[in-house]
Amino acid sequence: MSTTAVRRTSASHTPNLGRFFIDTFALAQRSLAKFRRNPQAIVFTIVQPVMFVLLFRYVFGGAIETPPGVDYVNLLIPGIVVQNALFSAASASVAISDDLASGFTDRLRSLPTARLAPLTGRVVADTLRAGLLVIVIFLVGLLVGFRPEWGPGLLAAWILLMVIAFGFAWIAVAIGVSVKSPEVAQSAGFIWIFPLTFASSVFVPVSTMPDWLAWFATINPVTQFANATRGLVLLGEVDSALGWSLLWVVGFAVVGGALSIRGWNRMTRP
Amino acid sequence: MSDSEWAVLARDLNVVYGSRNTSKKALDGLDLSIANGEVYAILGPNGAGKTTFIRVATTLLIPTSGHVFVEGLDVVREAGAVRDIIGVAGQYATVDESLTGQENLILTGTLYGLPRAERQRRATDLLERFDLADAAERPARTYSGGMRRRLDLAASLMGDPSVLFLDEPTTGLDVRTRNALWDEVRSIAARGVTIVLTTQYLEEADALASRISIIDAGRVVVEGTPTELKATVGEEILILTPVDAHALPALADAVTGEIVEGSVRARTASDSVNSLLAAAMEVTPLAGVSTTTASLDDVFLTYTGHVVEEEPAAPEPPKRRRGR
Repeated sequence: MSTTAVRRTSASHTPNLGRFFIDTFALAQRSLAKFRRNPQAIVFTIVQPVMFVLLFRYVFGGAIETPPGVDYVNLLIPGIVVQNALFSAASASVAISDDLASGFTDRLRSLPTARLAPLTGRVVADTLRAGLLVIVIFLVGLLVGFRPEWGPGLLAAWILLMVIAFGFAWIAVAIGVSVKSPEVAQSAGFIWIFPLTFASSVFVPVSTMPDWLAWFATINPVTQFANATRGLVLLGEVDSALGWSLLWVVGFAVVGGALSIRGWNRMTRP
Repeated sequence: MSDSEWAVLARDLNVVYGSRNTSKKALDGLDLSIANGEVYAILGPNGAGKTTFIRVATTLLIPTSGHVFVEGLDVVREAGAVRDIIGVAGQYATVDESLTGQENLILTGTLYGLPRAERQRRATDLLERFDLADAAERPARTYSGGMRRRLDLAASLMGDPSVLFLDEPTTGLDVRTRNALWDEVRSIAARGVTIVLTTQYLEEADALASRISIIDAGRVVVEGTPTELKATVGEEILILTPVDAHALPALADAVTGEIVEGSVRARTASDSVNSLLAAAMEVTPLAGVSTTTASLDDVFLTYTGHVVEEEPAAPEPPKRRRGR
């Protein structure tokens, strides 16, 4: 068979790092625009963490034992920003699944787009969104008595939280490309957050838990994230939790990324 | 015509969904040859394999076996190059609801790799051409069904494709909107773009296509120009109901028709209505005689020997699932 048909001169189908970044950026922008123009999504994204802050600060806070001399709100806020970095990341499951169901992904895949840009664009958008949400919670925290150690530790914590969101967004994308419908993504995408964040040091000191739970909470990556964040924002200190956190994040990004790419490439198989 | 002059060539195309035990053949040795610059309609009922073919041709699905070439490029091995020269618009308008019409086109242009000025220019042109200029700044979620299809069509043209695939472009549209969309399709074709469209409606294929392929159960049943196809079936179908239902087979034999729900449907292409009626009345007394315009059902009946199943017998495979 002859393949000498009129062929346009175009190099856009050759792997090209420049195109990859342009496409990723364009699709991240699209995801963020989608969020920006959905007032309901914005309100609920912000209301939920604020409610958690108020509930734990004023309702449960008084009953939670803290180390002597440490104000509960100072432990709480670094924990809640971790939880919400995870929530931000988790929304990738539903978003990816929605695009698949609506046919938008088909359009993207029929274009000479960088192959993985629909996924990386999503991850970048959710990482930036997490960064924004963290700032909002931080400000709300200040209003209810949270007193951080002002210094470069805050900036480092902010970056750490976005790195955490980045790693988990890959897990969320992997879920998004594997489930069969946005409804399933809605539950499968978020359900893991609750045991992971509550059975951790986010809301209560691990030492108050029964032994078996304390064991889980100690190895739970979310405990490492919360402790690393606390070290940075309360003391301006880097401790071993930061190292463990980064290791976990790399692990999640690698496993999530590999599963995402596998699921993505499988879509072309009947 | 040498192979390279064909806009789209499908050769012995097979797509089998699912595992060995629960497999379903969506395409079963499909062959198609679509010339440059023609409007080609693939006509078939739900589950015939229309969407599956479009998915293979537009690089979304890798076939189980066989080949598709678009402008001589292999859709599997040269998928990237194929994506550069095709446009796709579908049954589901795949625009982003929260982006404006303009932003949707600009995004598509970016993803085609167009320079900024060029994507601006094309977006403005297309919005104008598809009568969307006034709505350009509004989110697509505020668009009517017809406007969304037009935007979808405009997006599919952002890359200035030489082959445009339209998967059931008017399914679910009202008649007025559908006619307007037909006009758009004609004007795209007038610019020399090859158009491959799938449809369930004979009327649509008739209105738009220079050639039609009827497919059923994943293979081509018959191919020809609309005139050729209609000529084989006849403009009118004669429906004969005998007094005695037992006479149905004999009646069908006499007029070379098919039995459908207590009546015999006879084609009027080869014989006049008079001679058909005479032949029928020689066999058995008739309780009823009526005529109807030839439809997809009749073309189907003629070439497949069975009616188009009313129930969506085998739904098109899901747009996106493995392991089925």
